[in-house]
Amino acid sequence: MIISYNWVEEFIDIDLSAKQVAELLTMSGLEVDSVEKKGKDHIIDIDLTPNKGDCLSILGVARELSAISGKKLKMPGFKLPAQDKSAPVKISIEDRELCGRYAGRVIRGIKVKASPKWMQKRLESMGVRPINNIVDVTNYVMLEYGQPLHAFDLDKLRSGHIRVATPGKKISFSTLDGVKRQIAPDMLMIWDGDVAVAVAGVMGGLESEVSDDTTSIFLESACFNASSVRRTASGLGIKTESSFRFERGIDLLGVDKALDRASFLISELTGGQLCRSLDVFPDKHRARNVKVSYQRVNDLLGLSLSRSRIKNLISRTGAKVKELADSVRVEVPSYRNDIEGDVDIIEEVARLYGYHNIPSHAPALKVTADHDGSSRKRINHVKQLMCSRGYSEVINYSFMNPDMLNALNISNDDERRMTVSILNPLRQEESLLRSTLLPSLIENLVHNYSRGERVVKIFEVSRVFIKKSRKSDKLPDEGLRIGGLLIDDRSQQLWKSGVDPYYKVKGDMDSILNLMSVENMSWKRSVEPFLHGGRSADLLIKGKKTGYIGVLSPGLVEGLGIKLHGADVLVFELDLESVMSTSKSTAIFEKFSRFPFVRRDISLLVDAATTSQDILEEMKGYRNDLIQDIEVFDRYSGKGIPEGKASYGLGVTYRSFERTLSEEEIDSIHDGLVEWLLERTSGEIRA
Amino acid sequence: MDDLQTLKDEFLSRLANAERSSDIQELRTEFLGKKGKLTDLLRSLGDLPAEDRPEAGKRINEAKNLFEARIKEALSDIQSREIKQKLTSESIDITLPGISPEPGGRHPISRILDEVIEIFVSMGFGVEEGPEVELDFYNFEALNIPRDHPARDMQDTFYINDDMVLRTHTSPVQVRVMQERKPPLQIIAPGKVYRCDADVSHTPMFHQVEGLMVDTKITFANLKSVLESFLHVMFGPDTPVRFRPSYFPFTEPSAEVDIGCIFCKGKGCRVCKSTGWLEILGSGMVNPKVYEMSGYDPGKYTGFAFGMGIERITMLKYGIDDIRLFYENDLRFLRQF
Repeated sequence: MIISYNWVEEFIDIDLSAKQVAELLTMSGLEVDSVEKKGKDHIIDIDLTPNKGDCLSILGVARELSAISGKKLKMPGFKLPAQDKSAPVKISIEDRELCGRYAGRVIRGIKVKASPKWMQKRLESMGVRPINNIVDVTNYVMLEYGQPLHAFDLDKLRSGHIRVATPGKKISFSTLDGVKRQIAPDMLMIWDGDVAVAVAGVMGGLESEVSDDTTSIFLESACFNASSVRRTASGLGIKTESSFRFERGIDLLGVDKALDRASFLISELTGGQLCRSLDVFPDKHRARNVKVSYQRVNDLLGLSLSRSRIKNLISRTGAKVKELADSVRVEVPSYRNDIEGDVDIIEEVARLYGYHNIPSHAPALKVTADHDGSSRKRINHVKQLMCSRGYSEVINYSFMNPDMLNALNISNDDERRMTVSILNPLRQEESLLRSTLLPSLIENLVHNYSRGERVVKIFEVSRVFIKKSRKSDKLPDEGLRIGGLLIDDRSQQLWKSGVDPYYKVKGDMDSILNLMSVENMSWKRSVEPFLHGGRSADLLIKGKKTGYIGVLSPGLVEGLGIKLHGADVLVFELDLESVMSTSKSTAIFEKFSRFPFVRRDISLLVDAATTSQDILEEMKGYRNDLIQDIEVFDRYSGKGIPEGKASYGLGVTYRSFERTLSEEEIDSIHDGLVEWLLERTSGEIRA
Repeated sequence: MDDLQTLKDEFLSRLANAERSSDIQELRTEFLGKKGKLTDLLRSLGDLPAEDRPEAGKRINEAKNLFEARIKEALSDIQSREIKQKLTSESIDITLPGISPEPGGRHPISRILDEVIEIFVSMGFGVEEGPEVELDFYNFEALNIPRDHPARDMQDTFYINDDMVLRTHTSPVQVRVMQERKPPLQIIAPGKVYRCDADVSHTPMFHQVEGLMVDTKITFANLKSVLESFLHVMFGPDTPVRFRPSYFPFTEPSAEVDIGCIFCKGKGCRVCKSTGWLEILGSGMVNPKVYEMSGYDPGKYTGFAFGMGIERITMLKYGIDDIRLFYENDLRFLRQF
């Protein structure tokens, strides 16, 4: 909200510059965004919080300044001219819940023309476009008092009966901006008999609008229910100065004052003759009373203010304060719709005392159980590991383009199709929540590659969203994933390794799994539809699929719109929660033998389809306490190896907990192991 | 004994010409071996008259010692020369880059988020998490933001359906934790939040850290102390901190917390819009209505809550001037951290 400081000064004698006032306001809760000099005036832009409906006017800001500074508020003096005793219209409120008070007055014999320069300047200084003397006065008084007003052309109101009621059925209505709108049955309207003439508190109607030919008006000043106006305005998709103020609550006891102020100005500017005012106010205003204990004020703020100090600070808000035994009863002013309970009063005390005057005092430290679950630390270890292996961490929006699931060939019965969609996305491409991290990582690749990056090595740790239930109040599953992508453009590397890059990424995976001490895991050929069938794998932990790793299928890469020059794109994704839940969080010491160990190697020739995992599984079946460890250190096929065969280099470590093993002893176990292995793999020993 | 002198001369001259250690090994065999020339001479001692033998034997032995010493010397010379040659021939370009993965790094948001969490953990706060897809109840209603309330204007919300939203702040975690546990509570809740807003200074997703401390005697003075301590660790012990009244539906009294502009030191610049201050945190004493919604006795407990945006802190810490850079994930940006 922008306000003219000159105008504010008419309401309070405050010997401060606009800048100083801005500082005062900011420090008492009316945050000033800027102060701009405009001619002889200063325009103060206040970023008003939604609770401060009472400050949406010159009067409101002046009242606030009066509370902060202790200076007296000056209300504008005016005297209503003689009024006609007649009241040519009748008012009835038919929905008291939605309209607490409706006042109005007929003014006759007016001449519609431009308003005087001083008024036009005032309106313009506060961002309101001058229209004519009638509309300008309603706006002027709204800016001044915070009370929205509306003027109807009396001659267009035929029945002489103003009704405040909801339509009870759908109707259509043309508002004064020329738009024909659909009015819902529960939207509060103003009626001329059976004819709708205004959307209550939001906007007047086209038909009864004041025009240059208007000679008599009916001036409305009312108080409509805040939530009702908000629902109606947002339902119709309009937001007006009027609806904005009603939504934030106006002063129920200020309705008549604003009506008089506007009537006075209209009669001054147009020479119009005032009729008697009408004021339908069915339920008398009962001031809210809030009891506040002195003790609670000091307990909550950490202060030790005296009773009189507390009482004095509360009084400055304009509230009436009555002293009780160990508390005060505060009669909340009618314009303070934001004050409901004792804490609201305590905030007023704190605000007027000054937050900066409240001391800092460290709370007693209670060392609560460490809820910084080890999971956060372990996730951080994984992130650090990835970084040290050359991956850059990315963070993507949790959104996903629905087309991506098709592009990845993900089948309809796949869990990742059970997506959560956003009703009001910013763009169609961001209308789903991610059910996999892969689409974002691919976007990151395209972004970076098309900007010249040839080595892209990224990872992300984030949640994915899977809808497990159709119920509207059942939250989706939010599983934590780590996903990664690597493009290995070998021509860009100084050191050419010649190893299939699949193994590099698998090494990265292995090191994560090692770090987490994952047990009971195995790899099998991946069934992911977006991966290269021969160079990809699914990770199983306790038989359950927990992730995938592999080369992105060449067909998919072609569709990305970037030329990769034959380089492979490697991707992986792991369900971090499953990984962590099956892993040991602390190492448990295992005794090791004090005696030397001996290693024997085996060079095994088997069918190329046999995997190292198959071989290791078989070897584990050969039980002997002296075997400590078995590893695969080489796989070779090609020159010197028969077609369809592969040669594996296997290392077996032997040791005893009781003695140093003799060569003969090892030979005999090793021979047994080799024989067992040959039998089970149908392999042979390569010379 | 002229034979001995001749032998000596021959040995020394040949030793002087030896180039490889293998030449020397040959010399050793030729002169000192079992059938070596000097050994032969020693064996021929028997041919000499008995009285000459001691003298001749002594001289031969001296020669033998000399030969051996010289051989050892020459050998060590040649070996060190040979090692030198080997080293020279094996010399490599020691300035080529080492074999290691290209450097990777943490995302700046992730770094600062960790830094913030660590500070609060060191102050005894526990870390909690909540769902990112949240029920309207937790995101709004339980935080005293009913439907049809203007406070909903403060946050543009992504809706999943009538009951479910993408959380607009991390504050719902407060309510979830209070429903589960009894005071004393001292927690922070970091995480992603969403608002239906995208322009130069807004991204539809960003990160917040929420904090909550509840017990029987927690005061506004405690709130000031905890947040000042945090800000002094985060931005330096001399950073000015100010608290000013504000409004959040779930706290009362509420306070906005500013720090003195870290760029202009309060003189006024573009970043602080000439105010000398930077808004950094929202905070306040927990509204009794929130206790009621969470099943706490509002008469018994008091406490404070606070929330901060990590993007803003990260931008200030690293001098980043465009929030959108965080989510483009351009490697030229990411590699700087």
